[in-house]
Order: sequence, then structure tokens, then C-alpha cells
Amino acid sequence: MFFDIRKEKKEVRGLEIDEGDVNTISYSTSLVGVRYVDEGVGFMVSNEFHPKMLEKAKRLSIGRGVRVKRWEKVELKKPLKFEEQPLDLVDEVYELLNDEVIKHRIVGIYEAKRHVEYENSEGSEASYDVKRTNVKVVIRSEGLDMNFLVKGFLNENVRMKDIEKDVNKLVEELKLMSRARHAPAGRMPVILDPELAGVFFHEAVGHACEGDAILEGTSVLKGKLGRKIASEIVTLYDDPTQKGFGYFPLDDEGIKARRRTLIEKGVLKDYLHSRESAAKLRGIPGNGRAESAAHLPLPRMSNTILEKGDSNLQEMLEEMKDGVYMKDSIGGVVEPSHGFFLFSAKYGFLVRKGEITEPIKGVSLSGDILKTLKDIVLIGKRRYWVGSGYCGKLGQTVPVDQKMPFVLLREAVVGGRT
Amino acid sequence: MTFIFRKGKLREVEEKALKTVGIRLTKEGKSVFCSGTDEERCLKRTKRMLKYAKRTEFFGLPKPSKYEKVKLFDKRILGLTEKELLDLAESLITPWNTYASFSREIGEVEFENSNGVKGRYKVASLSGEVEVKHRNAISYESHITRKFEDFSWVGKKAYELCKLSLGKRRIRKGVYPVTLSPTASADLLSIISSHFHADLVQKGVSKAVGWEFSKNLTIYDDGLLPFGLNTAPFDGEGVPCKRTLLIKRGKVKGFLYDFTTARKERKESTGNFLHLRKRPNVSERNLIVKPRRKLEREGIYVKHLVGVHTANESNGDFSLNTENAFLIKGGKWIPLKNVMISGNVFELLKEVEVGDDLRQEDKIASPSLFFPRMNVIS
Repeated sequence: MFFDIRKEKKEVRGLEIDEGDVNTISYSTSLVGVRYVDEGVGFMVSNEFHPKMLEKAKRLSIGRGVRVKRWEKVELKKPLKFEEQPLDLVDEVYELLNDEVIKHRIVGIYEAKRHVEYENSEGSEASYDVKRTNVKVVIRSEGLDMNFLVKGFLNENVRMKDIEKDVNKLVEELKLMSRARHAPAGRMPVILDPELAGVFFHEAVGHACEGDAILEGTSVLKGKLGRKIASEIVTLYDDPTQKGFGYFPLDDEGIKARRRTLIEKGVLKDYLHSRESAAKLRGIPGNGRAESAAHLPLPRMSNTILEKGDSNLQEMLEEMKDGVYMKDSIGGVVEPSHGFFLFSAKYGFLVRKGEITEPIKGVSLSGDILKTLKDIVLIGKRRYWVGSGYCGKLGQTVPVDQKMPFVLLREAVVGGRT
Repeated sequence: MTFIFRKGKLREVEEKALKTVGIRLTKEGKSVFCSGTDEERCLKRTKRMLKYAKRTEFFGLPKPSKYEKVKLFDKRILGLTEKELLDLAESLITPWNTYASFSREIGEVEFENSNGVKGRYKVASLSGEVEVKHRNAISYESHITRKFEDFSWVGKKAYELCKLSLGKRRIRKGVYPVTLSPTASADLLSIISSHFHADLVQKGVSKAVGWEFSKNLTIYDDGLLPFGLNTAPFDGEGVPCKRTLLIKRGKVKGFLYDFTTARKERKESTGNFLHLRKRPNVSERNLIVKPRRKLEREGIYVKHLVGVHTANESNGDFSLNTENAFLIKGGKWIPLKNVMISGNVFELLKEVEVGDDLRQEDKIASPSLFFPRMNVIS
């Protein structure tokens, strides 16, 4: 028998300007989730805690075949007080967007404070506070090309100097998109910028390493521990202790956060585990995450970090010769069971004879995880935090991040117009 | 109440009892929205946000109106016992099942404003989803309904589809005739549905304005559709829901309005205001593509689109993966490997055939759609 009680209070406030219309955003939630695990899991959710919830959760644990890993008792208190984010920054950013190429602008700032309390049958007691602030800018041109920025900040306020450069870049990119042509389609070498490299490792490797997918046999990485799955230059971590957007001090099952090495020099070393997948696969838990106290934890990523290589962008272009250089992500998706992934870039450039030439848009990339991992030819020597991201799985969204360099792929399927 | 199965075995049972309250406060031409689980805290926060609101042209709030009696609540769903729910959930399980979930949701919606508008209605729904996997083939099926229905077909259909998807082959890239299943069609349409929202139109960024769609296409939004998934007597600001024609035989005929966007054009709201959690929005309720005729299935058939959120909602460009794609040749279904389709939703809807197999699993209800020419990459 095992039980845990999660209590959470979340307060979100924000301000959004959409072409002159001002919207204030404000919501506050109080949630309590009580989980009781015997052979099955019973889970009760309410807005306020009531002692009878545990009894009810016990009554619901009628399932079979569930085991959870026992772990050390945790005592953690990390109270944090946060200064309120000045929301008028929205007006300042809005004023920056005055270029005539812009037909439609949306600027928003959203500040989410979360207070989490955790206790379980092992005697653990913990509480912590975390604040995530997001800046969102969306601009559209007359021709309805769209560019956007979503940037996240952990436990700190956003100031103009943190985003000014990105906002100005956004406008320049929109101009570029307006004259870009559609990407070609077919197999070709590709350079991924750090943001897209982040999406690739998140979608293609991270999801396939999640313990539930391994247990259910829906991951191509099942049975591949200790085997070479990637090019030798690839070393990949999941690290919730780093101050990226995917940070947590304690996972949602009361396990203290720690770094996991997923791939070391091309060899698969570990999976990401919840208490349940850890118990069944003899792994180490610590990646059981839930969207809120109203959701059951699942094995999830936190901050995905690729070890740096020794190349720079120029060397990659020269090595590639002819291909596509893709920039900035729109989003991605993977089906870990057969290893097929897809993600879309905001724009990119055709590369000819090692030189960046004309801009392209509407470019997406897809391929087979295991083949593409072996097709990684070069990795950049400087790494960047991608800055913000949310990942969806089985209806639950959690914050994640990536710290990534540039990456050169020998070959991938570029989807554009045939 | 939710039952979750993994590898065909019941693992988790969840019960949630949650409440959300949404408040709009208007004062001296300023309007703020707030929502939360606690009414008092919510009201306090709403007042605090007033300082950030800007004075805008204020059109007031809706006045009382008569609501139509709509069919949206099936008592049989409410009356199901735990045992009966579990039986329904177990009927989803077939061989090769990797994941299944089954839920019953019961809720009540109440509304009032300072003009004396008042209303309430009850909702109840059942939903089930399954994932079936064998060797390299995977398939999904899901169903959600506000009427008590049998669910055993959901698992069986996914199982049959998975069997049919074994032994996948590659196909050459090129331009093919493509049929999208009702759910894939609804997903494709969701990329551009916001172009029928009045706020986008008023900001000059709706591509639907003046666009000529195929003559085969008639689309309307029906907030009163009997047992529709988003059917209600009134919307989030107490305005009666109704039926609004958006496209008639290819010609754009209307857009969706809330109270404020409608008043800006001296029109009536179409009852399409939604206020849930974050910011309020104009939103479709049950967007319906009018069915036409049985389609001859030749060329490529796609059951599911994957990664719809990666499409460009602003101009309709997309490049998407598919799951369970087939080449149909002389009545034979040949499963295909790694099929990706691309194009622009607006351009594609200039030439489309509309099927007769209407289905609703979300805000959009569509039959199968046939596109004579679509880019296919493998």
C-alpha cells in the first residue's frame, strides 16, 4: 500500500493587447489530489482537502497489476516569495511593433505562481513555490504570414532588456517570410538551429525514453538499453535541477529531482521513470510529473540537455554543401511506437555549395528516430537554452525546456511543396 | 469518473468533483474577466485587475431573452451505476489493446448578470478512447457522446484498423487523390475555423472574407443541435445559442459573434462567446459540414492526422504526418508507411467532394472529404 496527497494553489495574472483590445487574464485554482495505490490506483480530486478523500481513493483502487517503487522519505521546504511582475511591459513591447510590415499584433504577459504541498505514506513532507512567467508576441503580415515568440522565465520578472532583441528579430523575420518561397520536398541534409534541435531530441528521443511507453511496448527504444542507438558524438541528459523552464525540486510523486543520463556517446543508458515504471523496469524514479494536483503523474521529461560538440555553424554549412538550414520551431509530434517524428520550422534557408542562399517557409521535417539519431554528423560547440515550452501527453501539459547546440543531420525528409 | 486500462487491464480509477466560477466586472467603461475555484477570491482578484484594464467603447451586457428548449441531457447517463460504467469501459478492450480510458462527466452550468439574465442547464457525457498496437501497426479510436450509447464498437474498430494496417508499404511522393476520414477532415478544418470568428474579421486578418470555396461546401454552426457536444440554451454571456450559416454552396455567408463584436457592427450576437479559465473568446459550438453524397474511395485514404498544432493557423499552410493511411486500388486497401500530406487548407477547399458519413468528436462535425489533388510525401 502506498498513498500520497498533493495540494496545489495556482494564481495566474496577465495582460494581453490584441490590436488595441486589452484583455486582462486572471484565474486562481485550488486543487487537491489524493492517490491510493494497492494493486490498482484510486484517485480522488477536489478543490479542498477532506480527510474522507483517502478512504474514497482506497475504495477506487480496484484495478490490478500496479506496483510502485518505494523511495526514501523526503523533507523539503522551499518557500519563495515573488515580486509581482509589472504588466505594463506589454504596452512597451506593443509600441516596439510599429513596422509597416505588421498588419496584426498580439502581445501578452502571463505570470503563474504555484504553491505545491506534498505528503505520502512514506512520511515525506514537502512544499515549494515556483513562478513561471511567459511573454507571447504574435505578428501577422498583410499576406497573413505569421511570426511569434513565446519566451518563459523561471522565478523571476521579465524586463524589456530580456526580450527587446528577440522582439526586433521577430519583425525582421516576418519581412523575410513575406519574400520567402515554399520549401522543396524530399530527402536532403539539414542543419537544425538550437530550438529545432531541442524539439528533435524532445520529440524523437525524450518521448521514446518514457517508462510507460517502454512498459506498454509502444516505444522503439524498448529493449535497447546498453545498445548503440545514436551517432557517437551524442550524449543526452534530462536534468530537472537546472534552472530551465522544466525545473522542479521534487517530482509529483515525492522524489527529489536529479539528473539522468539518457544517451552516453551514442549508447542508450537509461529511461525516464515514474514510481510505477521504475518498479516494473528496475529503474530509478524521479520523472513522475502531472499537469496539476488534479492529474495522475506520468513519466515525463524536464530539461533536455545535449552535450556540446566541437563545430560552428560555418563548418556545418561547409560540410553539408547542399541542403536546408531550418530555424525556429512551430511545434512537433512523435509516434514513439514506430519511431516516426514530425516537426515544423517557422522558416529556413536553402544552402547551396556551403552558402546560405534564399529564404524558405512552410518547412517541416520528419523521419525515423533510430535512423536520424545515427545520421547526426556534427554538433555545435555553443549551447543555448531554448527558453520555454510546454509538452502535451494524454491530455496533460507540463513545462519543459531544452539546452541545445546546432546539429547537422546527414539526411531527413523535408516536407514542403512537391 | 474515469477508468484507465493499460495493456487491457484496469489500472486506475479517478473521481473528480470540481467547481469553476467565471466573473466579468465592468466599471466606468472598463471590463475585466476572472475565473477560479473560489468565488470570493475570484471577485477580489477581479477588482484588483481593474487597474490594468483600458477604457474601451462599452456596449453594455446582454439583456434577458427567451431560451429555446434544447435536447442536451440524457438522464440515462446520470443513472448509470459504477458497475454499469465499468462494464461499458471493459467493452473497449480487444486483443492488442495498449491503452484505453472511459469517462462519465456530469456537470451543471449556471449563469447570471446584473441585467437580470439568468439561466441554468445540466450536461452529461460519456467518452472512450483506445490505442491498439501490434508489431509496426498502431491505431486509435475515440468516441464522445451526450446520449447513452453502446461503446463496444470503439475498441473493435481500432482493432480492425490495426489489423488492416499490418505490412505497411512505401509510396512514391507526388500528387494524389486523397480522402480524409471524418475525424481527419474535422482536424483539417480546425486549422482555419478561427477565420470565421468575428474578432479576426474585424482585425482584417481573416482569410475567409470573400474567399470562394467549392460549391460542394456548406458549413454552419449550430449551438442548438440536439445532443451536439457543445449544444446549450445560452452561451458564456447569457445570449441564446442559435444556428448560423457560414458557407452556402461555396459562398461565405456569415461569421460567429459574441455580444461585443456584434455590437461593433450593430448586429446581434450569434451566441458564440466562450469563457473558460483563461481569456474569453469567440468560438464555434457545433461547426457542421453539411453531408452530400457517398464518396467513391479511390486513391489515398487517411484515417488520422498527426500534429495538427504544427500547422499555420494564420494562412492555412500545413504539412502533417498521418496515421493509418491506405492506398485504395480496385477495392483493396494497401497500408502505407510514413505518409505526410501538405498544402494550404483554403486552397484545397476550392476543390473538394463532401461525403455523407457525418461524425462529431469535438467542436467540428464533418463527413469524409475528398481532395482530387493533394501533395503526398513519404
